[in-house]
Amino acid sequence: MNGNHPPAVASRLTQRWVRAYTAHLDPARRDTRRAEISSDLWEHEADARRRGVGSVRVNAQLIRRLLAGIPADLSWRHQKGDATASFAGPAPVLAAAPPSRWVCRVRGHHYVTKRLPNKLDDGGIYCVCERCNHEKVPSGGPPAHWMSGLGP
Amino acid sequence: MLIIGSMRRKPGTLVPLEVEILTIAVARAVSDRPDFHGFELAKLIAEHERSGKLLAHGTLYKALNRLAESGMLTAEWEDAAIALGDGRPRRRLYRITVRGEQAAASATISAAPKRASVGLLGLEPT
Repeated sequence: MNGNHPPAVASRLTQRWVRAYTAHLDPARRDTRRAEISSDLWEHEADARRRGVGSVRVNAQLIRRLLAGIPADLSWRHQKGDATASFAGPAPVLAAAPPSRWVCRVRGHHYVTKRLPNKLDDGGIYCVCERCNHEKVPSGGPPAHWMSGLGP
Repeated sequence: MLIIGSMRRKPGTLVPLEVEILTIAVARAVSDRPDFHGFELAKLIAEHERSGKLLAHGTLYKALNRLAESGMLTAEWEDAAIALGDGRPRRRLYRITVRGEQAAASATISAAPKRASVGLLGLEPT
């Protein structure tokens, strides 16, 4: 590698990390963070080229910036995941056949309800998320934080 | 304005990095280029601290995000045509707000007595 080549390895690694920790975030927030980091990486590489910094050193700088920022990335992700956790109202009225599964969204994580025949042999559908703790889907409709049905 | 060093804080408090960002943003506000982007800010902080080390992505953008969400900075994507003309990705540009100026001034005032007492004792601030 030499100074004329962009340190693509470190940039790609950083972008993969950003894609990973922004996955399942609110799309606007996710896209903003991804685009902003992409811009930063580009600026960093361009600045290094202007100053004649070799790509090995730039790669090292980028890796250091990536690794040192991981705790803040995770903390930010945790905060934003909580902020976007949706306890949004009940799913809209569904067409004819009621769904057999539901998506439960808590703190940015999605959980698909499961039939748990060994829990109670009643053919019921239970949610396995941390909030519901194997709560049965009520017959009158989903609890407030259940997002949507997945079809019969 | 309370300045604390740990990550857990009450709403409205600032960590030293956020104070530094606001201070730089205030200085930029009176220049001919009042806005700045993330990498530019990382370089300014590295120069200011004479460390030569650029801030980590996570640390930098988490702080910027928090300042923007609390109304101390504005954040806007630059015109796509400008970025296209320069052949680079669009920059997200930050600029200090009145609220940010007030927070920076308040933080500076609250930090001043500590600096003064340290100076009187002939000690270097830590």
